[in-house]
Amino acid sequence: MHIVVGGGRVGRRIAEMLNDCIIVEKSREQYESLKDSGLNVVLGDATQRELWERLPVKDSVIILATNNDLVNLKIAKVVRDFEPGDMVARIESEVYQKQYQNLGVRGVTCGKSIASDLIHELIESKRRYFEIAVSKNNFADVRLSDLNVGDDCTIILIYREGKIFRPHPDFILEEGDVIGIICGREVKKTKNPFDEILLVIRHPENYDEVLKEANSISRIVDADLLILHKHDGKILCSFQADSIEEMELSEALEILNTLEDKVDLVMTDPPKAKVEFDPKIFRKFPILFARGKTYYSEILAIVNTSNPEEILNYATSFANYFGRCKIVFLDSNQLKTSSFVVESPTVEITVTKFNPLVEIVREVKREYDLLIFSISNDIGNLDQEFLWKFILETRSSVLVVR
Amino acid sequence: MRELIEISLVALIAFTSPIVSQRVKIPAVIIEILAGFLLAMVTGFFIASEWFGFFSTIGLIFLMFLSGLEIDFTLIIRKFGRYWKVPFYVAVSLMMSFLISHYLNLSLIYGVFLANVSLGIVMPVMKETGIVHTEFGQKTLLATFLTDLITISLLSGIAVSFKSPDSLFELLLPAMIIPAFISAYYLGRYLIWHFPDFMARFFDDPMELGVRGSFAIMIVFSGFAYLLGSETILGAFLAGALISMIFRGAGKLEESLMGVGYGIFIPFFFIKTGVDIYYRIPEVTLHLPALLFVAGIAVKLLPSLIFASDMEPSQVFGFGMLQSSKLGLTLAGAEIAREIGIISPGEAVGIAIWTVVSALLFPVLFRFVVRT
Repeated sequence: MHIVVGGGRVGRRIAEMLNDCIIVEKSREQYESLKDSGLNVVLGDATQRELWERLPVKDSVIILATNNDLVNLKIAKVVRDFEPGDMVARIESEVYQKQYQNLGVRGVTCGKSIASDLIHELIESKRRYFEIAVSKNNFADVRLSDLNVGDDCTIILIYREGKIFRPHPDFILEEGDVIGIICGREVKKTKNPFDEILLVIRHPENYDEVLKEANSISRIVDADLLILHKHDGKILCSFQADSIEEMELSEALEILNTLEDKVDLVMTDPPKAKVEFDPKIFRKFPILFARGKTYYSEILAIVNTSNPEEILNYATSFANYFGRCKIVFLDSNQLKTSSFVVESPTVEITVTKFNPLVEIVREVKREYDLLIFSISNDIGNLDQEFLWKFILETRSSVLVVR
Repeated sequence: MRELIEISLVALIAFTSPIVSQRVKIPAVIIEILAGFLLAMVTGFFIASEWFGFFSTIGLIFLMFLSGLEIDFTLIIRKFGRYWKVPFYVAVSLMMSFLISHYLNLSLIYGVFLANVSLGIVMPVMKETGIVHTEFGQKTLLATFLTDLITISLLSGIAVSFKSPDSLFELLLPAMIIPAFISAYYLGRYLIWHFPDFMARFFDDPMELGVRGSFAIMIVFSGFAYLLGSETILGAFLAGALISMIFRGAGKLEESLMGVGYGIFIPFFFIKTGVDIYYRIPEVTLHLPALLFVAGIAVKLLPSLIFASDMEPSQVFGFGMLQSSKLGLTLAGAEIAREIGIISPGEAVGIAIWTVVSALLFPVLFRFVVRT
């Protein structure tokens, strides 16, 4: 079930695209007009709890389509208590974006003409790609950097007079252009990969270095940083750690096992020697073995998995936030079967030519700031011994994803 | 003059056999054996001369080297636990092979011949039918690699023990090749980690450093095995396996070495096998090849029923059929066994006939099953 708040232009269009939908409209005139169009409308003030008590809110998708951010936010606060499945909003001003996020509302900040399409994408997550024609009424003469299509969507190309242009922030749209946009949950990861970062400190002597890296990364990707450490024999989770004791791996893993869906990234200091990790840990969240870097200017992503989406998401995301990223596929068949679109001007994609093991070791030895690879390691000929060498014997920070 | 004609004819066969093979859709190896047989029959003088025997031995060594090189250790490591029924299948098939050999009063080495399978047939057939990357294809490959690895090791072990050494020291001396192999493996891995640029030249070098290096490793290991009283072919096999293990698959280097091996040396061995078959026909009875044919199917088809719950009945049958195919290694094993006197020349020819028939018949049956 979908409940659209606001029966204006955007709300009406969304309702027309959805099958099971109720519109909540405050204005009687608008209410009559919507009803005449055959839409399912409820007359009432969405900021009032009483209205929501009458509606099937639990597990429904709430679409906030009023043209007032303060009203949207007020409604979101009320609706939140009724446990909706999802909340999506059309955001008028980016100033309120963080507040929307805090309330668990996903949103888009763009003109009315495409807002309805984008919101529809967010709800349905079915159609991954669509196009919008640029006219004087929408984005003609708008700079791409000024066009925010939300966290879940990204512009991947622009057609102009039969030619395809890559989206550059300084690209200015003209009438007659066609914008190609893809949407999906994975797009969000490339734009804003981490909201919560957990720093796990096992060895006190590494604290300063690892904290330095964690602080830099959380600041750049705008994520909250929590520190898991041992103090007075107790495991504590806090925003800062004044004194730290040695923590056993088993103690850390016990805590991590309970943290599913609460943490987007775990950062920790590299172990002193090879340890047996339960691969399930990596299925919960990626783990970054930090070496005290403050910036990742050079990144190497090794696509050693038959499901490369996760690696490509993080590689593109890090490339967008930091420096140049080289993505190396270990088998050319991966390129033939992968439908993923990597869109970043700082990403370079290559395929190993003769022997992935030797070629990857050669690359790793070039001292990248960050290495990314998958724990599944089911493609190519890299073995666990060498993957551990990457973690233990290089100066690179290493991000291990599922 | 006669030797010049012999050289020219052998070179011509080596050159044309892949072309004919493509036309008639029969493995080039079979064409070479048949050509050797026909040459001996038509010319009448084609008895192994010194140079022919020399190149044939080099061909055999190279064949064993490439057999080791072809084994995909990455696949074995990754799929061994996941497809646990495959190692079980291999173990049952091996046990049955030795039990049947014992029951038929055949030498122990027949157990190896019965259990053996030809990667040289399995791989092209899988590629041709487009099933290499399916679960069925991966299981078939895992079974083939495992069987190859075990049967070659057993072949070497049986050959060494048959030499009846005079002392315990002489018996244990050949085993010294194992620590040499392990040391070389760790040295290779050390070099990859510390000198990756140099090791990359094994694959990408205008001076073909990889081919030269591989030759050197093959010669060193073959020579070392010989000096230790073991079989040179075991040394060659270990050299190939070493390169495959160090680099986790030799890729482009394997292609170059295959070109050199199958394009230059190995045809000599197979042509000589054809010549030997012709000259030993009087010593052959059809009883042995027929017996091996039936036993060979039994030891491969019956254990494949293990997969009855995972595969379609036609796939189970196809799996068993393809695993029954023999070729290079069986011929090489027969030649070694004949040389050291485990089997008679007549038996060696009987094994060769069984090999040729199985190489012709089983891939055809497999294709038929897969297509229907």
